Amino acid sequence: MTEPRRLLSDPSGGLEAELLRAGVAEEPSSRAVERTVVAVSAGAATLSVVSAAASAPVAIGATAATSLGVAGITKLLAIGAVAGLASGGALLGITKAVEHRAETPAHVAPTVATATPVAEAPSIPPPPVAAPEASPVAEPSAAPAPAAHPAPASALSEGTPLAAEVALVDRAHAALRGGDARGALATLAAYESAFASPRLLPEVFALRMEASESAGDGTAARLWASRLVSRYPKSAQAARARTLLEGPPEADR
Amino acid sequence: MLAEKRFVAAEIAASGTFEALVRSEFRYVWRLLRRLGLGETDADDAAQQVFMVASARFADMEPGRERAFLYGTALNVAGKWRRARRDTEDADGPVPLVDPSDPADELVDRHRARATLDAILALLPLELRAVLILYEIEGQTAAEIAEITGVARGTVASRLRRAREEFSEHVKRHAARQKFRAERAAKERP
Repeated sequence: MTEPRRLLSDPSGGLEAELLRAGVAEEPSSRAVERTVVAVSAGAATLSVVSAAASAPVAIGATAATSLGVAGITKLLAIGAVAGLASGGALLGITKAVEHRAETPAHVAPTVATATPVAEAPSIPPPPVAAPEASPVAEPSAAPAPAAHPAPASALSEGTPLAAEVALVDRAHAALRGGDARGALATLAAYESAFASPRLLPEVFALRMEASESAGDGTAARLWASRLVSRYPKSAQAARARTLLEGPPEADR
Repeated sequence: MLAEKRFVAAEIAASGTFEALVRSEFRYVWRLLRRLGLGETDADDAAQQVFMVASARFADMEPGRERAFLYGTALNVAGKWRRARRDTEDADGPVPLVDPSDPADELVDRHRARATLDAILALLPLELRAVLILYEIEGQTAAEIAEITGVARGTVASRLRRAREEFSEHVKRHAARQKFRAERAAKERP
């Protein structure tokens, strides 16, 4: 079946073509793109921290919350404030939850989060982005997925292991992001033996893959990549692993 | 399970894979939202919402089918924004007519043309409007559109045909009204 001829390729397109061309010519601002990139990173990272903090029993809860640190949470929210998130309402909800639930000092940044939605909220409120603020973890999704409810259920209330796994993975992440690839690898070194039923293996394999690459150990990176592909072929991380495996061979092989 | 997915999302976001998706697909999502009737600022905010939803569900997305997910989410989000706006503002008015005595420059012309385009698109039923946007403005193939919108190729072809007929009708009517107004304005000048 051949494609119907496109209106814009029709020389006699006339006014129809002119109108369509006006639509073709419009581009988003780079500011809008960057703002979304920041929002997504901040939102996802904040959620993972809050889930750990809000759900774990007291002792581990304190550890998990402070492993990223009050400062870390504040910084993520500050990024949100600077970026001027439309979904600031979600972050506000999260901040209040963190204040309420975590064993942290009172200076968890309410002021930072408050600034965000007031400054940026459109005069006509958009459809609600966040779950109601009472919810301990607000998921900033508007559309298909209903606002999810957090913690209490199954996996996390089984106790400390998952929260501790998360804390470990977060620490390794932070190290890698901060340029300390070897530190990340060291943090992850005992992962499988530390946890009886580890649940974050794809992420850990992927992190080890990246950290190895960062540290200049191409052989190890490829090893983690092939493990990832063979054990979790359908995961999102596997796609990245395949890319690495298909790349040029490392010099140190 | 849900908590693990969030951690996956966090890891992916932090590692840059999702960021790459945002950078490569933001334009597509934003332009679609614009032609679905959102203003520029609203489209900025709504596009962000679309990607926030997508980031939470990234682990579920089949590689290579990201656009289908983003499209569906964008349609949902656009619908909600438009309903929210409609509750507090006037509904879409008639297609704007240019005042023929207004001096025009190219930028203004393009802006007006876009306003006219959007007003006409708003008159089309959603499923026709979507196919017209994706085919004629975004340049996607019928096969791609079928995959993204989840309908058969034949359906895409028939919707495109109907969309073009309706679009053409509205444009003709608009041109006629424009001409009438210009002639009347010319007669009324001393």
